[in-house]
Amino acid sequence: MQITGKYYPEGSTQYYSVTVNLYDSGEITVLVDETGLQLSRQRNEVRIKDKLGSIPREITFPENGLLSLVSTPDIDAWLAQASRNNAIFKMESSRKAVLLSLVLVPLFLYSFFKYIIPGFAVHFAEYVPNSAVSLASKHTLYLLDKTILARSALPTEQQANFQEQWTDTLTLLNLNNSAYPLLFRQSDELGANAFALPDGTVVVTDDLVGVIDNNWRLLQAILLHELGHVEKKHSMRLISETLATSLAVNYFFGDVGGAIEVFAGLSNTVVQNQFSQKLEWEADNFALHLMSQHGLDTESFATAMEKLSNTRANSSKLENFFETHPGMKERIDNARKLSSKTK
Amino acid sequence: MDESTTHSTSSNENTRSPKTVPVRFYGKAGEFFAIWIVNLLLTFVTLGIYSAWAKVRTYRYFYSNTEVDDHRFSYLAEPLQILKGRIIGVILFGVYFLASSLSPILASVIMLILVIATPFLICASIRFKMRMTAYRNIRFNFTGRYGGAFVTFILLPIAALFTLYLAMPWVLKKMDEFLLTHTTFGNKPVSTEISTGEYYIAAICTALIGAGLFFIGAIAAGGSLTMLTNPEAALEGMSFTLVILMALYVLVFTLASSFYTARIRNHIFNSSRIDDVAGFISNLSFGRLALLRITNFLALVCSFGFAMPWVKIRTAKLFADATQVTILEGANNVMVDASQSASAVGEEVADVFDIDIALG
Repeated sequence: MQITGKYYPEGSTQYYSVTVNLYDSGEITVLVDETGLQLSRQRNEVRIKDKLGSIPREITFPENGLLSLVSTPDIDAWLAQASRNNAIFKMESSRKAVLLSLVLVPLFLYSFFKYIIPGFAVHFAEYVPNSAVSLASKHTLYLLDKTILARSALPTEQQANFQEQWTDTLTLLNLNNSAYPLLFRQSDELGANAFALPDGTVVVTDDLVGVIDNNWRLLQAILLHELGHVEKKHSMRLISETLATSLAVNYFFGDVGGAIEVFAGLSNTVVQNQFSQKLEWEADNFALHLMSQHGLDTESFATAMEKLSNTRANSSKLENFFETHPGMKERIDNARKLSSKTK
Repeated sequence: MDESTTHSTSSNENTRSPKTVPVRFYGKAGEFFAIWIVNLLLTFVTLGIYSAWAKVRTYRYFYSNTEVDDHRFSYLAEPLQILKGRIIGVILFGVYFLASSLSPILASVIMLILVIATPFLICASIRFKMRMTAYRNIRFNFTGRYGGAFVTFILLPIAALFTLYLAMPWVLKKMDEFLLTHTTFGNKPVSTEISTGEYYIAAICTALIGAGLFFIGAIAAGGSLTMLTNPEAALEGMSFTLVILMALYVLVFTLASSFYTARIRNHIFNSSRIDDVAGFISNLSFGRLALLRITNFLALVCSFGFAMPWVKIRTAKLFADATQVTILEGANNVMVDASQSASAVGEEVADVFDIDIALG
C-alpha cells in the first residue's frame, strides 16, 4: 500500500513530504520526496501511538523521527497488526460499549457516594490511633478556649453537682466513668449548645444549662446524645467522609486544575451537611436506646429538644423555616414515639 | 526540470515569507463523547487508576485535533508519569487534610509549608505541561525558577493586599509576564510586551459590568418581593427570588469573567510572539464567549453533566476560530533546546521532578 505523509526528523522543525510504503511482510519504507533519502524499518521496530478517534496516526522511528499519516481504515488495519492492541479504541467505537457505559457510569457514581464512601469512613474511624484522637481534642479545645469559649459563670458547687451525677450515670450505664470529662464554658457565639470532643470530653455552655432550667434529667438526655457522637466515632467519620468525598470529586472531576486549586477548594459543605444530619440521628437513637435500656425516661429527651427548639425559633425565622424546624420537630416526634412505646 | 525548480515546489519553501494562517480544530463532539464516557467507566472500574490513561487520551484528542499551518500538535506524556504525579498528589492532599482536621495548630504549620511549596508546584506543573507539548517534533519548555515564582505568586499578591487590591491588576500582569517570558519553543523564547494599562482597563470594566448588572438585578428582585403582601405568597416568593438570585449570580459572573477573559486573551496574543517563529492574532469576541459560557452552563445543568464532551469541543473550537498565527521566517529552523538531549518523541524523561503533581 502506498500513501503520502509528513516526516519530522530529529532535532529541528524541518519536515518533509514523504511517500510511505506499507508491505504485508511488515516492512515500512519512507521515501523523502525532496532528497530521495529512504528509510526502511520493520513494524516491530517503530513505536506506533494508539489509535484514538480519527486523529492522524503518529509513528516514531528509532532515529527519533516522527511520521504522521492520515488515519484511514487500510492504514489502521496495517498498524493494528503491531503487538500493541487497540482494545480501548474498540470499546470507544462500539455502540454497545458506549451505551453500557452510559448506564453504568451514573450507577457507579450513585453507589460510590451512597455506599462506598460512608463504608470507608466507618472503617477509617476504627483505625485512627488514640494518640491522634487525644491530640486533636486537646488542640481543638485549646483553640476554642483562646477564641470563643470563656470560663463558666455557673457556681462551682453546681458544676460539681452535675459532674457527680454524670459520673453516677456513666456507672449506671456500665461505662468507664472517668473517660468522659464534663466541662462548663460560657460562650456568646455558641449560645445554648453542647459538643463532644472525639476523646470523650463533653463541653456544655452556660446558656444551655439556663435553657433547660438547671434540670439534671434534661441535661442528662443531652449528654447522652453527645456520648453517642463519641461512642460512634462521629468526628473521625466526618473527617474521613469529607476527605474521601473531596478527594473523589477532585480526582474524577477536577481535570481543570492542578494541586493548587485542590488545596484551595477544600470546601465540600453540601456533602458535609448532609452527612452530619445523618450522624445527629444516630446520636439521638443511641441516647434514646441507652435510656430506655436502663430505665431512664426518654420523655426528658423530647422535652430538652423542645426547649432547645424554642430558643432557636426566636433567633431567626427564615433559618428556622428552611432548616432547623422540620429537623427538630422530627427529632422530638422520634423521642416521643419511643417513650410511648416503653410506657 | 532542473534541481532548483524541484526544490522550490517542496513544502519547506512556502514559509519563506511571513504568512498568516488560521488555527483549525477538528474535534467532533460525538466522537469525543464515546471516548469520554468509556474513560469514565474504566476509571470507576479500576478505582481511579485508569484516570491517568484517560487523561492522556483526552489530551491527545485535543492536541492532535489542533492544526496550525498544516501541522498538528502532539501530547507526549505517558500514563505512568501522570499516575505517579497523581499518587503523590493524593498522598499530599490526604496528609494535609488529615493533619489540618486533626489539629488546628498543625494546620497553620502546614499552611506555611504549603505557601513555601506553592512556587515549586506551579513551576513543576507548568514545566511538565509545556514539555509534554510538541509541534513539528519540537517540545515546548518552561524555564521559570523557584525564586521568580516565589516573588510573583506569593510576595506580590501579599503586597497587593496592603494596597487594598488596587495593585492587583499589575500583579496579574506580572504573573502572566512571568509565565510567558519563561516559555520556550525549542531554542526560541517567547517575548511579550503586555501592558499594565490594559490590565487596569480590563479589571475596571469587569468590576463595572459586575456591579452594574448585579445592582439592576437586585432592584428587580427586591421589587418583585415587596409586591407580595400575603405572608404565604411571600414565603413562596422568597424561594422563587432565591432561585432568581442564583441565576442572576451565574449570569453576572459569566458576563463579567467573559469580558475579562476575552480582553486579556486578545491582549496577550496580540502582544506576544515566539522570536523569529510565530506571531499571534486573537480576536475573541466578548459576546460570543459569554453566549458560549451561558449555553454551556445551561446544557450541563439540563443534561446532568452529560453534555461535558460537547461543551469541551465547542469551547476548543471557539478559541481556535478566534486565533490566527503569523508564520515568520525562522519557523523551519527551530532547533531542539541545548538543555534537551534529544527530539521530542525520543526523549526519555528520567527527571524525577518531571511530573505534574496533581489530582485532576
